[in-house]
Amino acid sequence: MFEAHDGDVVRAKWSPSGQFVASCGVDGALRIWDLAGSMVAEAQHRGWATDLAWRTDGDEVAAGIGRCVVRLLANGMKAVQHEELPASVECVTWSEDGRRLFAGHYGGVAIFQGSAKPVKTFPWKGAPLVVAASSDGKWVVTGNQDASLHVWKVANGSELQMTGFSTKVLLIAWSRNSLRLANAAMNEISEWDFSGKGPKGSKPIGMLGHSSRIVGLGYVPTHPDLLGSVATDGSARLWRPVKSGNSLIQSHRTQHVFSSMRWSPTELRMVCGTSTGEVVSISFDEEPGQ
Amino acid sequence: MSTSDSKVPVTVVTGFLGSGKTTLVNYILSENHGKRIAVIENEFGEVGVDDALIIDAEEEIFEMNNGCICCTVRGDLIRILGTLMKRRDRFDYILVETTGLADPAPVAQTFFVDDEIRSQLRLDAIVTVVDAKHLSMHLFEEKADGVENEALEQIAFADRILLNKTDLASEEELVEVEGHLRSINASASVVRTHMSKVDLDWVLNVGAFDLQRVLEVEPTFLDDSEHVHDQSIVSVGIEEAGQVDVEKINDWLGWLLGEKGVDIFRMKGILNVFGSDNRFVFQGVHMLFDGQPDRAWGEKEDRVNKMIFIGRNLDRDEITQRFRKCLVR
Repeated sequence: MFEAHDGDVVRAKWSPSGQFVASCGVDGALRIWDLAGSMVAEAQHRGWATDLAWRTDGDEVAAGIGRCVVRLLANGMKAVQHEELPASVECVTWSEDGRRLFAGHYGGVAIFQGSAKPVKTFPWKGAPLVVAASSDGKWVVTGNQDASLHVWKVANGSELQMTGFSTKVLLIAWSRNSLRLANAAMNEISEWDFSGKGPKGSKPIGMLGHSSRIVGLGYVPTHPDLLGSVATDGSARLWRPVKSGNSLIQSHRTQHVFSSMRWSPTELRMVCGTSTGEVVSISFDEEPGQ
Repeated sequence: MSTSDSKVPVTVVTGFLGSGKTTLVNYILSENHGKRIAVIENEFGEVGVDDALIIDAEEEIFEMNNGCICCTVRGDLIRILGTLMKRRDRFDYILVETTGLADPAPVAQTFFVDDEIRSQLRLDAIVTVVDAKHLSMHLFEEKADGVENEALEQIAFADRILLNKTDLASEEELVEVEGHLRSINASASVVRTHMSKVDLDWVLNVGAFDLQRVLEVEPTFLDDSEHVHDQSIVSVGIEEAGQVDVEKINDWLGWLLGEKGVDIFRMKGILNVFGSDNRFVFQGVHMLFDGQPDRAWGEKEDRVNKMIFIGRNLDRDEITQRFRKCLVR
């Protein structure tokens, strides 16, 4: 354990290779650490940091700090400096190919490439909380404070809005093939069909069953048609979303108050964080049946 | 039933430019009171205070897409409060200072619409600082159509008003200003201060948004005749004996929120519901309404319906007449 920031740490994430940890905090700093706890690189901006994301290749990390998207290279070299956006950045994510960087901020989404100014901006009167781009790079979606999802087609900026969730939307997940998008709000999961012309006018598949707030959601890397979720009631569920009938295929009940979830990249096993600071591993049966 | 004790109370300090709002915040921070207070400011204060937790905010207001046209909230506050609550062992109170020109509604509404905020924090009171000497000038300043008079709105939203800079005004002026304050907001308590020096228990942990303490301050209901000045924001008080029909009163509240919600800044009330031995208490900010059955009426207590609505262009007769139709005859 080491002192990484002056004040609260907002996010800390392993690099994809597991070689580094990036952290950002209320001190407005973004830092990269090696496994011995030595600082490899550092950047600072005015304001609080809100989110950070590693590029898929693990060579670079980006963070939202105040109104700025700040980038750091893991080799300690200087990264691109972006201009400030009109309002505080709330969330950041990379495209799968690492070429584009998406920043959700109050009042819209900005897309950056290699220059200081955004290459595209999608203004929208709302407050994004999380942002996710489809792996084919065609869509970018935000989950918002006003209990909605907002979707942009990256090519032309055309928009879709999904509303009517019971709470703000903090969890969104893209399927590996970019054809499906899942989101969770409170104890409800919805899956949207992005095949063909997209989900315009369509109804999502609803998945109910958790009895409290869902805090982790993700498609299974080893089984791309399966979706996993965990909630604060200690339940962990595995779903195969189907339009009619029961989507639930397996569930576990534990005594933990879960706070987060990630899938193992190689097994049908999830790793969950709990509100009491534990890390719990939950395995599901292979070849899940009905 | 009260869960308020486990929640961190948040006091919102508003006040027009030059009223002494920052002086109040600095006084609260520097006074040796043993209370641990986190302060969220809109501008960095000039005075550095050791050990105090001071956070700089940006006024990021956005509209909730929830069918409520006046429901704006402060996104930056949601973010800051959310992060603060991860380390709640460091403070017991939170103070939010708004800018002089701020409309208090988005700040207040933030505490009603976000689940995480609601579950951990409670809006305790809105404290407004006014300048005794210059208030009248701000109040009756001519504004173009559609332009808000923020000084008026800040008074309308207040639970507590500091009538500050009393050393600069004569007793006559103070009495006149107090009259204005009462006619705008009959339910706020007013205290005269110099250099914003006030008993901290009067501004912290007041419980003004606590349903069980609704109307703890007896509103002074003024008659129309006492309205000396032509002002757009007034308090409309209703005090009527009798029992209300629960369905009719629901319709009445629905009409009030739907038709007048944009114009009503604050409302508080106690109802005597037909068929119930318990008081029904409610309060609200614009269209956001919070109501529940409360304790039983006392043996010797007068079962009287008491309500106060503070807002713009409120027609006292219309509201009262419609209310009377809800009474069980």
